[in-house]
Amino acid sequence: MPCNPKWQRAILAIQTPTVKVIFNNIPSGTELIDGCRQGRHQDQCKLYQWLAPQMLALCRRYIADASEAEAVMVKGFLKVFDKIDQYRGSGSFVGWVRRIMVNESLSYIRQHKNLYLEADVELADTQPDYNHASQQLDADDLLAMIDRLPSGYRTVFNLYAIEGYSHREIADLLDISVSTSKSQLNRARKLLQKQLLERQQAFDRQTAEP
Amino acid sequence: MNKHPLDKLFAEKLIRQQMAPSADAWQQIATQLDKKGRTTRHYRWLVAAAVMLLALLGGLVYQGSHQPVQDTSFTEAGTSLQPTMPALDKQAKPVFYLPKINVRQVAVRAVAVRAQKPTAEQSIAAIAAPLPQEPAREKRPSPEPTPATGNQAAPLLALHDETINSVAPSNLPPVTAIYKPGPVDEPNNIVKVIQYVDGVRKGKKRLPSIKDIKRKLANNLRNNNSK
Repeated sequence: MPCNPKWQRAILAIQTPTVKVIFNNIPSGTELIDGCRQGRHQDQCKLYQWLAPQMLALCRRYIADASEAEAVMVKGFLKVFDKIDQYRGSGSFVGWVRRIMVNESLSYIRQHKNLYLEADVELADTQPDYNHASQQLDADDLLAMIDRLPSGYRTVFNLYAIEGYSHREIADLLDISVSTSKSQLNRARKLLQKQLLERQQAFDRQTAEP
Repeated sequence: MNKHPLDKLFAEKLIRQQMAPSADAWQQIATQLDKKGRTTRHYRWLVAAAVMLLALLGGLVYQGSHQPVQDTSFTEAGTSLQPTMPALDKQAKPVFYLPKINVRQVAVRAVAVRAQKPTAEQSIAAIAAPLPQEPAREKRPSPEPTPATGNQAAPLLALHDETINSVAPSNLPPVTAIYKPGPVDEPNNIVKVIQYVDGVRKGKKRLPSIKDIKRKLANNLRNNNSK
């Protein structure tokens, strides 16, 4: 398939700030979407390269295995290209794609039956210093913490805290009750707080030692 | 609603997170899209071919139904019907077997059969004139052949189950009349049925309801029994 090598290069260097500027200059939404509707491969390629990095990160948050997450993203993009006619232009296109990716990830989790809802966690209710954490930790650190959560907590936390779904929507998506969704979220928060506190203590020890 | 500080921390950092997928991922998508593109292209060709074929067939049928009737068709129809009507001129009971043909051809054949009799002019007149007596009396004439009434024994017109499709002109719905084998009072009834079908086709006559046909059949049966 013909594909502009410039985009290929851009995708390899995705994390650098200069590339982000290039991505912001993409011929915006509608043109690209129209091209994809007509099945133009160039536009499909551009759309993929525009959205793939954030969609891979999204899938990766739900699925700890990187290669599985990528396979789910591939499936998601095939669905996006297949159903792009159903996108009516109301609401953001990226949001529409995100929802498809979330659904793909959830169906993967469901298929692999690893959505366990865990028992109670008992933790001291000490709040970590969020400002400090925000300065000290980057996305990869936080992702690693999410990865350590049991998959049920992780899924509910991702849906609620990051995607912004309501408990009602989560309950419908995961076929659980609203109260289960709420309790899963609370336990996820507690586990994450615990991890943040540990990181904070380790950091404090490091700075105190020398 | 205030967002929980923990949620806020994670959302801010993670919502913008990006990861470079492997080059393999796009290859997978590209091959799938290629495959799909090829099948849809094939599919489009098939559809186009089918539409062309249908248009061609439709055109042929349309032309066929609108061709003026040639004189030769009289003799043609006459000869083709000949073997199935033994001793027509001896006034025996004629037997017709109608092949699947269009309305005009049936009319022509019916005329051709009558033309061998001395009363040819009458039958041609019958075609030209709107339905003689029965339809005038009935508000809803039925395509069912009317059974013998009165004392004269009617000649038998044995027909196969035949469908006569009237080919509709562009804006009118097509009409299908199905003939069932059975006695009819005279061969001329074919012509009446044809005219009836034509009438329905042109919107001048209404199709009888199933209820009416049933009632009529029941009446006929009662009449026959009383006789």
